[in-house]
Amino acid sequence: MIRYLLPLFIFLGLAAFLFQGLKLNPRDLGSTRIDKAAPAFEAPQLVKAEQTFSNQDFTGKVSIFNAWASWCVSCRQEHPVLMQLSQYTDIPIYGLNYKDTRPAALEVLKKDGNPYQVSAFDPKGLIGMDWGVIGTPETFIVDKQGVVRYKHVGPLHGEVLKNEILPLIKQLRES
Amino acid sequence: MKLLSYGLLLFSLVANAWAIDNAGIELSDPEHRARYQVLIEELRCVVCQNQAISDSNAELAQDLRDRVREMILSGMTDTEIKTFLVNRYGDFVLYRPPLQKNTYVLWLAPLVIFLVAIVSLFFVIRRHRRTTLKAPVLTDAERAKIDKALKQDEQ
Repeated sequence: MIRYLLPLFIFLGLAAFLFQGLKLNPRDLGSTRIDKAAPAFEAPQLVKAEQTFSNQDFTGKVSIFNAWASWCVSCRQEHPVLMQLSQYTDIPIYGLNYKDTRPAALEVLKKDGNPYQVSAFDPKGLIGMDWGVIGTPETFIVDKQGVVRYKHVGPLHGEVLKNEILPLIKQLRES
Repeated sequence: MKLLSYGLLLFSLVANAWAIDNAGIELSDPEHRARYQVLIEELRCVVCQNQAISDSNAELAQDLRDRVREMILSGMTDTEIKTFLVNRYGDFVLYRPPLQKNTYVLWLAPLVIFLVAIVSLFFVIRRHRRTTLKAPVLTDAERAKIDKALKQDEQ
């Protein structure tokens, strides 16, 4: 009897694995930077080109670091979420303007609003490479000590914010 | 047939166009070029995940090819270059995953499956031998039946 049922069990096991696989996001490769100090960088700012932004600027507060670009369609999609975050919370949002041109990026900020306190300008994507950015948008949370605590791949949305990002920021602020 | 070959020709032209790499820096040293070629075949493009960075036209793949060339020129070893990329993108960038705690299953599963197959093959063959090589032994009742049948035939 068991020998005739065996294929059925193997099939069910396989189906369970594949079903789980459907829920995974193949784009989300995790991050090697989690729980490590933010990769060192110093870059010109996007808006105030004569000033710089560096990894030193993360220390002392829990902040959001968001890789974006004017050519990135799903960045437009998450833009309202960032705008709301900047309006209704006091969480500092820093941007990494990834592989972009200054005029195009400034145009987007002028048209849709600027949720970022500062955006670092990374036209060649070298800072992005150090952070392991695969494709925009990607969002990191950096704690008070300048340690990377979290990474979200893809556009931000209410659910991620409510279930993951905001609770984590609250917890990191209290610690 | 002629149409098909034209089609294939056209397709191969397109494929070639994709493979073009906008080399920012040229590697003049043949040894460097050989190392570069091996490296970019073994590094996975993290954007288009089933391609090596050698044959991906994703922007990140281009950036990584440029970076690999720069690193070769700056005198880094192959291991150092791979470590640089693993530190940023994880083991996923390596098409040849290292043997470590979380890849034991990956590396050892084929061996285990092979052993299971060999052992089951052994048992199957043994059972097969037992049932086919020995001449069937007849019981007394069967013998009596045969004798009776043969006798009937003679009559």
